[in-house]
Amino acid sequence: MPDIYYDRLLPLWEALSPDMQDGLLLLFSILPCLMVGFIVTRGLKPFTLVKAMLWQFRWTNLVFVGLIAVSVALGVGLIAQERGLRRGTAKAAEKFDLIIASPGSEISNVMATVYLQASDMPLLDGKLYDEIANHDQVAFAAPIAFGDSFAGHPVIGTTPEFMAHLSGDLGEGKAFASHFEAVIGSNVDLDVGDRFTPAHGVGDSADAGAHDGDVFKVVGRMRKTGSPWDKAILVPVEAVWLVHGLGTGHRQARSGQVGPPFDPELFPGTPAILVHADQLWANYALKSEFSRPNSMAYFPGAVLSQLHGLLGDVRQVMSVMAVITQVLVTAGVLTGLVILTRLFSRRLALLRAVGAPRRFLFAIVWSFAATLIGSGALLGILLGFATTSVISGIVSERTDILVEASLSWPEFHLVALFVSFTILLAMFPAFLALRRPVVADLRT
Amino acid sequence: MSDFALVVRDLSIVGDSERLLLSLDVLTVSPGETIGIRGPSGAGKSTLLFALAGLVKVKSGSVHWGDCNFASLNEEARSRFRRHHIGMIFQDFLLFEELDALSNAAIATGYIRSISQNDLRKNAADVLEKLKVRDIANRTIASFSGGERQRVAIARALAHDPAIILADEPTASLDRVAADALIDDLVALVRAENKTLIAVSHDGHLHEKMDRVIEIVDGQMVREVSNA
Repeated sequence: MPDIYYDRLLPLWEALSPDMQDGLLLLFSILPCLMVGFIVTRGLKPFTLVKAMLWQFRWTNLVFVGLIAVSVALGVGLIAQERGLRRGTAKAAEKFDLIIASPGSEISNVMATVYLQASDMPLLDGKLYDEIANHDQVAFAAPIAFGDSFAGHPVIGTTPEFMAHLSGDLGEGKAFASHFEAVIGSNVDLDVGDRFTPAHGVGDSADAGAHDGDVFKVVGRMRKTGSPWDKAILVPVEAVWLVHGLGTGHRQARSGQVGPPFDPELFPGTPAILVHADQLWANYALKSEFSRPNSMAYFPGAVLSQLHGLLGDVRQVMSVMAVITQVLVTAGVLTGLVILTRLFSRRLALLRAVGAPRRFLFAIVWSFAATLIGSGALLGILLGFATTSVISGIVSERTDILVEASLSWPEFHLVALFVSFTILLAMFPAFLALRRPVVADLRT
Repeated sequence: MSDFALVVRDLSIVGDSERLLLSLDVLTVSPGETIGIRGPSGAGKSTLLFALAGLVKVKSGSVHWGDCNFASLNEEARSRFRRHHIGMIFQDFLLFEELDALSNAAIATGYIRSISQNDLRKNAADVLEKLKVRDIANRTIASFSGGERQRVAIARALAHDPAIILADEPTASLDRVAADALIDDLVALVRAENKTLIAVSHDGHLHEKMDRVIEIVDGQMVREVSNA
C-alpha cells in the first residue's frame, strides 16, 4: 500500500491542477453524506412528506436554518475576511520592494511608508541617499517624505520615477515637472487644474496656515492602485523641502530640477527611501549592505508576512471558536430535531401502522434534518459572503486598502465537512424516531 | 379480493406488569365479511384491532391469514404484511394537513414498490371518486370537514387494494348525519370490492350495517350477534 501511494497515487494527485485537487477534496468531504443519502432514500420517495413536515413547523424550521446559517457564516466570513485582508495589504505593499529608513520599528515604518499612517521618524542624510542611489544594483531610489496634508489627504514628497513605478501610466493629466505641481491619487477630491495649499502635519493637529503662500497645482491623477496611496497627493520632494525652508536638495544652478540626482551636501533628509533593483537577488544584497547601525533596510513584504502570521494565528483561534460555535449550534439543532420528531410522532406512528418500512421513516426524519442543515449551510455561505462584502467595503473605505470579498475553496471545504459531519449526526434523531412505541403514539 | 379467511386462535395479549389485556379463544373472519366489535371503553377492542394489524406484541396464540401466521413474524415482516394486505382507518383521521386529498390518499406511493406509482395514484383517485370527494381531491386537507377527512382516510386505506380493512372508531369524530353517510358509503364500498372489514366502534348505526358484531368485555369475547 505505501508503495502504491508513493509510486502511483501521490504523483497522480500532484499532476492534477490545484482547482481539480480542491474540487476532489470538496467531493470527498461531501461524499459520506451523499452516500448516506443515496442508501437511505434509495427506492423511496419521502420528499412529499418531508415537504409537508417542513411546512408544518415552518417557523421553528426557519429558526433552525437561521442558527445554522449564522454559525456557518461566522466560519466562512472569518476565513474570507482574513484572506481578503491579507491579499489587500499584500497588494498595497507589492510596489515597495525594499525600504531603507533610520533604525527603529519595522512595523511602524511600514505603517508610515506603505500605508501612510503618519508617524515621526528620524531622517536619513544625503550621504546615505547618494550611496544608495548610485549603487550599481539600484535601478532607482526614491525619497518618501511625509508629514504634510491637505483636507485629510497625506501630501507625500517623492520623485517622478516612484510615481511612475506606483501607478504606471497616469489616469489623467501629466506627471509633475516643476516644484509646485502635484499628482493626486484616484480617490482624492480634487480635479486636475485645482490649486491647494498643504497644512503642516496631519489629522486634528495639522497647522493649516503653516505653508500659506505655497500653492500647488494639480496636474495629473494616478490610476487606482488599491492602496492608501489612492488618497495621497504626490508632489516633488524638493517642494516638501522648500515649504519647510530646507532648500531643494540641488545646487543653485539646478534649483528648478525635479528628481535626482540630489546634492549630498544639500540633501535635507528623508524619513524613508524606496529602493528598486532590477534583479530580485540584488534586493537581498542591498538589504544586507544597508542594514547598518545608522540605517535599517527591510522588505515590507517580510514585515507583512510576520503580521499575516499573527493575523493567521488570530484567525486560527477564531476559526476554532467558530467551529466550536458550529458544533454547539449543531448540537442544539439536533436536540431540537429530537424534540421535533416527538411532535411528528403521531404521523410517524401512522406511517408505521399503515405498513411503511422503517427505512422510509428513517429517510423522512433524516431527509428533514438534512434539508434544514443543507439549507442553513447554503444560506450561511451567502450570509458569510454578504457580511464579508460589507466589512470589506468598510475596511476599504476607511483604510483605502482594497480588500476584496471572495469565496474560495477553503470556505467550501469547511462547509462541506460541517455539512457531512452534521448530516451524519442527523442519523441519531432518525434512529430515535424508529424506537418510539407505535400504538402509544397513535393514541396520544 | 383474497380467498383467505382471517383466523385468530388462543390469542393472549398482556400489558405492563403482565396484566391481561385480551384473551381470545377463536375468531374466524371470512373473506369479504364485515365485522363490528363493540364493548365498553378499555375492554380490549382496540387491542384486538392492533393485534390483527400486528402492531402489539402477542404473548401467545396465532393470527393466521392463509398459511401465514403473522403474529409470529418479526416487525419488518409484519410491516410488509400491513403494507400489502391491510388498510387502516383511525378515529381522528391522521392525515397530513399540508397535503392535498389525493396526495394523502396516495401516501403509499412513497414506499410501496409492488404497485406502480401511477396505478396507486389512479386507485386513490378512483376511491375518492367512489367516496364522492373526487372534486376536492386537489385541495389541502386543512379546509375539509370531518366527514370529508374521514373519506380521504378511507381512500388512503383502500388505495393499495388491501384485502382487510381495520377501522378504529371511524365515526367517533363525526356528527350523526356525516357518520351515517360515511357508514353507508364505507360498507357499500367494501362490499362492492369484496374486502374484509373489521371495525371497532361504539356506534350502533355502524354495527347494524355489519354482517356480524362481537362484543368484548374485560378482554374476553362475550357475545356474537349475526345481522345476516
